[in-house]
Amino acid sequence: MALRSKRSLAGAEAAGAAAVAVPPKEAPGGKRSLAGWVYLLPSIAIFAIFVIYPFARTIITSFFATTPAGGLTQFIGLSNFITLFTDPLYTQAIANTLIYVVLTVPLTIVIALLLAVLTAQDLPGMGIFRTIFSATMGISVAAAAVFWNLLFNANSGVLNRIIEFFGGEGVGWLIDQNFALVSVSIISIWMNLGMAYLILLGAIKSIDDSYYESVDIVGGGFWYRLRRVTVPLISPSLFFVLTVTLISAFQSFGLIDMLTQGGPNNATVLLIYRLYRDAFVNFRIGSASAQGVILFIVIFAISYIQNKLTESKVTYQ
Amino acid sequence: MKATNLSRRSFLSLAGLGLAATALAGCSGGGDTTTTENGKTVILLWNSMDGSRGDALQKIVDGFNEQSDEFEVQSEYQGSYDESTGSFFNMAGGSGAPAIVQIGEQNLQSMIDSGLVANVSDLIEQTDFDDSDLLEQAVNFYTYDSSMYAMPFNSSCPVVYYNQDVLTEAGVTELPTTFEGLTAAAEQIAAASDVTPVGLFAYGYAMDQMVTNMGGYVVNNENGRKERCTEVAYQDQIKVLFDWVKSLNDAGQLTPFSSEDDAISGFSQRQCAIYIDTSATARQIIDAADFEVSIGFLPVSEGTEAEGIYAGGGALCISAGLSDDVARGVMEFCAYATSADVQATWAGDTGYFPISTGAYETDTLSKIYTEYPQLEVSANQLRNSKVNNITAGPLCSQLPQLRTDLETALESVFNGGDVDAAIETAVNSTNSAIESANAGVA
Repeated sequence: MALRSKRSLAGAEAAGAAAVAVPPKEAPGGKRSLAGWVYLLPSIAIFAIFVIYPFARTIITSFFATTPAGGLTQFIGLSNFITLFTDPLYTQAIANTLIYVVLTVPLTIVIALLLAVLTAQDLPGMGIFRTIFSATMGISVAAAAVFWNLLFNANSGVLNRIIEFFGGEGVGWLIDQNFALVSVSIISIWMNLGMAYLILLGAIKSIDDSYYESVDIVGGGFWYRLRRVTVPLISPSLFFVLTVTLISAFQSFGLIDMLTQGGPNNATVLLIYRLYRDAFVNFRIGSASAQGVILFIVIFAISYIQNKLTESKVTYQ
Repeated sequence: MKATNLSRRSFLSLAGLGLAATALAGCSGGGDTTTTENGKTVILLWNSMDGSRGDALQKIVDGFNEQSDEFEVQSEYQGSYDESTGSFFNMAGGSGAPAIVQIGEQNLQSMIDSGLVANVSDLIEQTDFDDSDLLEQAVNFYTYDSSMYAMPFNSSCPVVYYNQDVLTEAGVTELPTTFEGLTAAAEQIAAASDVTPVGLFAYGYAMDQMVTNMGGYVVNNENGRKERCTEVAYQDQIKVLFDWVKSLNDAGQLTPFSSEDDAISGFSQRQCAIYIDTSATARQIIDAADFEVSIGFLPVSEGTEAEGIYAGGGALCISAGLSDDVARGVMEFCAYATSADVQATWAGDTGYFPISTGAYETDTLSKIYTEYPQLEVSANQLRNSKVNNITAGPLCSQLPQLRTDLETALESVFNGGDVDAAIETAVNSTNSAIESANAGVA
């Protein structure tokens, strides 16, 4: 904050220097910055209480052994982190999370993009499809968990009935450790599709027709239009969807908690779910804080890399 | 113009101050007593009883409030035992913290460690509470170092559920009491009907109860009763259990379920003939099934005697540092809630079994047991249990972790994993959790 206030002071001085041309009508520097602080106070207070303090507290707690109620008892340095990285179940949670992200994020975006491209044309009845494809936005995680659980039930679920009808063998969707993560990913893709679809559809609809007319003149086909016109022009929206989907994939919790609770055999334990268990079930607050810090670093690093890799490809009009 | 500016500025600074004041107010301590309009002292109770069990609890609370001139208990549902324990820790005894919080047996050690709960034995002494009628098995669980830290309230235990129709059809005449007996029954069922003999879901609580029943300590230092536990001690008993599961699984006589709800509906829909679940859901299962349901004791190995089980389920923790007035009210409520008739009705409404011996002599309960003889079986399993440090049950802050790890291990066996490797992973994970948790309270 000190830095920012200096900068604003510098700004005030610069304004003062420029005052030769336009003399300031407002009060001079010192008083103005006081007013600035007063204006900032509400947001600083809210940030301090709800963001900065918990964040700092989490980092501090991660270096301590704690009581079940979260009291700091003993400084143990990096011990919480070392214990985590030598715990095979935690490294499995990291692997699960990465697999889950790789399974869900690209597929969500590709499917949403295809549906958006297909329904962007103004044909009669298109409104119905647009409504259907964006409908999952209005479904809560809890409701989705309930009916996907019914679909996925190994003994009486509809999916297995269909497979068996065609002579296949039923799959233990949520109880087979080789399938559970994939099953959860399927639901997750389905859930996130609505939002991604809607944003991309909006972006495609706002592309000026003249671009497509040019393609028609050149004689390009569907893929040419998609690759050379649509995708570049909606790249800011794509980038936005990618970032949001990626971060939300790292923080997926509801489906896991309601469908598998991390099972079977830890196959669906994601980082955030493990953190939740340690913080709110096992009351190992120190370890949970360390996991919070790790998750923050991972998300920060991946977002940063993704930013660097894609920023040159994003064109803002 | 200037005047407007000034007032806006002062408004903003006032708003800022107000915000800060509100934030600070949230941090100030409480513990003060509140009273109702008609002058009754309020006792806040946090519970974890949802659905019909919540209604049954409310009945007890209403009954108490009606007969008390001095106190009014206000009962609030706070989510699961773990969630409500977490919220209780967050309140840290501040204003709005409850006087009574219902916990699960897995939360006991954490509650003691937090230093936020009262020594109930001291309160019993101070208020001349008559504790002679409390079931000794239940007292045994909630006592550490000869002090009781929670008032027993709702107890249950895992039992074996049988589809009696299928058993009869297969010619199984007596309910098995051993793993070998269960295997034999499973074979008879597999031969006689197309129902999968055994269904199981990964149920950590049932597993550590089975360890107890087979005479083993779940955690070391005599279940954490002599001194704080430092590692698990269940290996031998869990191996017997897992080997049995594996043999069933290899024989194709086992249906694994993904959750308790899944198992309940599976059993009710005849997807399996035998399964293990808590006695707390007994009424629901008996009422829902369109076949006859029998209930039997947890199995032991052939040739060994069952040690019995510990009194799991819920109990009432009492906040530390209550005013004398509130503490007196809390103990009055405990006396009411554990009295024979109230416990008998509560047992009939829910499926928990009474934790006061007097309740077993009441007409209310004998009527219920005539109608549902199965419920008596599960109560007997606890009442027949020996009273020692084995059946005191595990006292360990990482009991939730211990159970999760056992569940994971069992799921790995369901999936054909190696028994010894599965146990080793579970042991290592739980031991490291216990070590890190102990570091925080040393």
